Amino acid sequence: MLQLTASHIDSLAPNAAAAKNGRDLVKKNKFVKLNVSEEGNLLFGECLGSGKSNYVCSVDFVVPENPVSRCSCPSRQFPCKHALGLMYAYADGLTFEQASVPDDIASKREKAEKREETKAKRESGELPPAKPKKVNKAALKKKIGQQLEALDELEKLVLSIVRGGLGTIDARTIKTLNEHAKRLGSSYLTGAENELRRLALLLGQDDQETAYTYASEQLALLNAFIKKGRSYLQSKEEDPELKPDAESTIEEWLGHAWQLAELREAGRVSEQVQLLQLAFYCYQDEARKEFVDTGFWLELGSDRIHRTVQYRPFKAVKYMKEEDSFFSVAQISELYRYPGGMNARVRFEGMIPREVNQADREAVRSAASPSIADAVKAVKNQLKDPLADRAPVVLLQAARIAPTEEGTYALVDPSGATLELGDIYRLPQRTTPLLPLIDPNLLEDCCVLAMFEHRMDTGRLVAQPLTLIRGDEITRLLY
Amino acid sequence: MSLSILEQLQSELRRLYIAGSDLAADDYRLKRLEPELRERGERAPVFKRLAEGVAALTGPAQPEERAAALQDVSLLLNSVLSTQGNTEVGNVGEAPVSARAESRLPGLVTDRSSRELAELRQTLSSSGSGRYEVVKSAYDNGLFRDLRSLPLALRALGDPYSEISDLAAERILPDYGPGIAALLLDGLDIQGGREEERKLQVVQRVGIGPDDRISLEKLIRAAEEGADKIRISAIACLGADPSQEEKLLEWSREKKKLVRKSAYEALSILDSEAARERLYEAMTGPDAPLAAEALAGSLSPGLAETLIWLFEERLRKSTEDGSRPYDDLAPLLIALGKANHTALESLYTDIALNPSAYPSLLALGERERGWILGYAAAYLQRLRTFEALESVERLAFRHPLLLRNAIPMARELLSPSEVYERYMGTNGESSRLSSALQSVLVLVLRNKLYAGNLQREKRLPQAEIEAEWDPRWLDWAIEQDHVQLVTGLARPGNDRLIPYLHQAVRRIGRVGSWDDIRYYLDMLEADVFDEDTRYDLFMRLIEARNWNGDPAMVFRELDLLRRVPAERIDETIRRLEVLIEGISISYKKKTLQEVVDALRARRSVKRSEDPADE
Repeated sequence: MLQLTASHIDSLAPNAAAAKNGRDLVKKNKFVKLNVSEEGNLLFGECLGSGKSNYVCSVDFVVPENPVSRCSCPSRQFPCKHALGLMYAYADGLTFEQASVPDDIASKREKAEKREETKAKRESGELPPAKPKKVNKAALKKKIGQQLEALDELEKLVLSIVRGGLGTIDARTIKTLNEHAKRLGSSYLTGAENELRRLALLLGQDDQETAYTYASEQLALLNAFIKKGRSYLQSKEEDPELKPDAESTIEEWLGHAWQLAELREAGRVSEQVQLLQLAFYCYQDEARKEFVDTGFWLELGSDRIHRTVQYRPFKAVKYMKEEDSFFSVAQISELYRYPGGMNARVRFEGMIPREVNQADREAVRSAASPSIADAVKAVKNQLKDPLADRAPVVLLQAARIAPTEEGTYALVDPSGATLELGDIYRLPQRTTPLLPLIDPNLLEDCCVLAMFEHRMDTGRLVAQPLTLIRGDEITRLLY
Repeated sequence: MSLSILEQLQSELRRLYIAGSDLAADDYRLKRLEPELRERGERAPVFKRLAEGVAALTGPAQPEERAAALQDVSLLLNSVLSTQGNTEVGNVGEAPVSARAESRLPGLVTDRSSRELAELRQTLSSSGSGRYEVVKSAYDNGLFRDLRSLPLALRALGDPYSEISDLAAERILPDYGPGIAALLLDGLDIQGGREEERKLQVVQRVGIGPDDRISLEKLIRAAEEGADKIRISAIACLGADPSQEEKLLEWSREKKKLVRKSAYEALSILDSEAARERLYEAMTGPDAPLAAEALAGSLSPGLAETLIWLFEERLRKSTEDGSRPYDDLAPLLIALGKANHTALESLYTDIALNPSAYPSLLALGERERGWILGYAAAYLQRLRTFEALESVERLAFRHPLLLRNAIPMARELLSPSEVYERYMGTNGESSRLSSALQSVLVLVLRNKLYAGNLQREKRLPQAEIEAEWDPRWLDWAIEQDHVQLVTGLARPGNDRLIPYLHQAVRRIGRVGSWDDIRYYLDMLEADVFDEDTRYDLFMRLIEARNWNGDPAMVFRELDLLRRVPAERIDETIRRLEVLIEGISISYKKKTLQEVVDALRARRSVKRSEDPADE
């Protein structure tokens, strides 16, 4: 029998409005027909619309981790509000009459099955593999040439800024930077495009002192990127057959978007993984011109904290699914891991949720590092690499979170070592002001998920608490 | 590793980034660092590389090379410094972080999702329309029980859109319970503006804990040293604390009017002997109107008794000395406006029984007396007793408008037929009511029959009319010749109704108001008449309308015309065609012609579907 919870349906909804509209359809009794197939893995029904004919919608759970929704409405959102409403109606316990699978869905199921079969046969070698994509060597060479040329130009621009000094930057220079960034994008260096635009944004902000600190850091980062990028591209130019570097993040810096097939080929897939989301946030990245939905997940049974990232370009926001906080455990059959450091990005297609249980909470505790010193060592090791993620996230054990005489907060680990807690520049929201509002009992003998940042101006390594875990309580300070 | 030299180098490099690398040639401050770096380089190679970088930066070179050198040294230095970040903090407390006990907010959760909270956050940090609805629905959905929306709730207090900030001050924040008062006071800026004032309104609403000395001290400071508006709000919060009596008494004599008002408000909550004395003094002196406003919401029973006694005394006072009784009475009436006291009940009952015992009241103008009696009637109405009803009726005999208090009371206490008989007598002819009272009754009844606010009044549902109103009212309404009352009370089984409507509809069609037409149609659509009568009454209205005159066509009428029953189509077409001939305004003609065409189309569809009909 199909198990559906409201929170699972929420997580399938493309955005909050769709979920609300779906709920409202159930509330307003708009469904005139509710059916479930005999096997219980297909919900289908009809919903009143404003026109004279009803919308016919269905949600197919034949592959439970990847439910497929279909509807005769013209919405571009999947699942649309009708399909969501159908699921909410089921979760609310409304009566669904048993009926046989409609013909059109049966034929669609058949086709999908066939596709899967062919795919399986190809993988097992029964059928000849699909034609490998032919690489157009000349085009690739031309592209690399363009990228190298763009890198040279970027270097010139960066050096001219360094020569003139940040103090002389005015609105015109910022405009030039933005225009140059656009050109980088058209020369296949989207990574560089974003970072140059970030520099322009930093220089345009009002607080000059902070701007100078982060802008000089950004200039150094561009320097590292130009050097590493150039040597990587040169080696690629010499050997066009070279596979993308699946160990370092350089490909991503250059603007490469990893395909799941490439990650699989590079052996970056883990099977049967369970993830528990510990923190989530969404922010507006003006440099990328995208919303970024970021989740931090603990891989149960290990101490790895993964990151999921969903980019939603401002222009396409209406049509893309907005990720959300996820409170259950995600059971994933194939987890694709991107190259990267401590919280490398992961992706998965479809999952089955299950309730968080006591064992999961214990797993959190055993995954948490008991020693600040060890955690900090790993963090510093990552920060040493200028192209690595500047804000690693770590799960720590805390004997207590206590106030300091200076009015700040500190995490004290079981051995008595201390770590300053503060709000960091790279997160869109402050969380430390919430600490005094939390039940003090939760701040003793607990685990803390924290994001680190090295502050160049003060020379301090500071961590911002994202989530506190104690006993049954998971207190999310972010989202 | 020596951090100091690295930090020095970093600050010099930062300076060069701002000033430009072109100025680095022979920079003596950088050069000064080079020897030490070299010396340390003997032991740690990274220092040697830094020293070489500094040399390249300051030595002879092309400007581009110099810029590149700055970039390279900086990159290396940043990497080195990133491994040197200090995390230790000194003087860490032994107990976990916690707010003081009084400002804890137990029961907050963090189980709401990002989407829900993000919408609220977005709403409260932007401007534009539709924001109130989002905040209100978040409040209704309990979103503010989430820890992370507390800062948003605080932000809502300062929202420029006052509906939102009022919602925050009146509902959202008080819901957090007593802890919120202490929390708000901890963050109070006593020189602040409207937002801080609202914080104090929340504090006043929620109250501070009896043992919360810190909050009390903050309040006292705000009351003494705050900006004017903050002082006023803070003083009003101090009534709950007996130790503030002396200060409140002092403030009640201050020059500033609003400070005095707040002090009166607080004194009324304090309700000590001295407070009551001072308030009595204020109510009998020139400050009475101000004090009355302050007391209106929070009058203590003790003070109420004294004021009622004073009120009665003034009502009984003879007016021969030429004093203006209204000025003496009004503040007391305002102060007692929300009070509940048996003495007040006896006073109002007695006024109804023996009006002559209150010469002050009799000396007042009609409007002013009506106002005072209106208070009395409203008070008695709240009692919901038969005795009170009689008193209200007695008052109404002298001041007919008060029937609007009596009628609902009677309907609550009596059956529909009893209500009718009470005012109209048993045979409908010996009404207890004078003609003045009857005309007020018409108004009262009309307002009861059409519910909703002025623009969107609707006729009551038919079942309700039949269950809650005696059928004899309809006869009375016909006698009164009041169209809206008749359409409002219409029900099957009255022989006089249809003849009346036949003659009234001519008037409605010609000179009736929009409402008259609307209610007439409402009546037709309710289940009052059989199909034929309904059609007949409707067509009579259409034919009675002044098509050549002023009234525009009502959409609803045209729509109803198009939807006449199928067997009436032919007749309707015929009658409309006659009508059209007499119309001279071309667009009205055209519109009616369109209706006729639509009916013809309906007729032809029907015939093709159902040829046997022919």
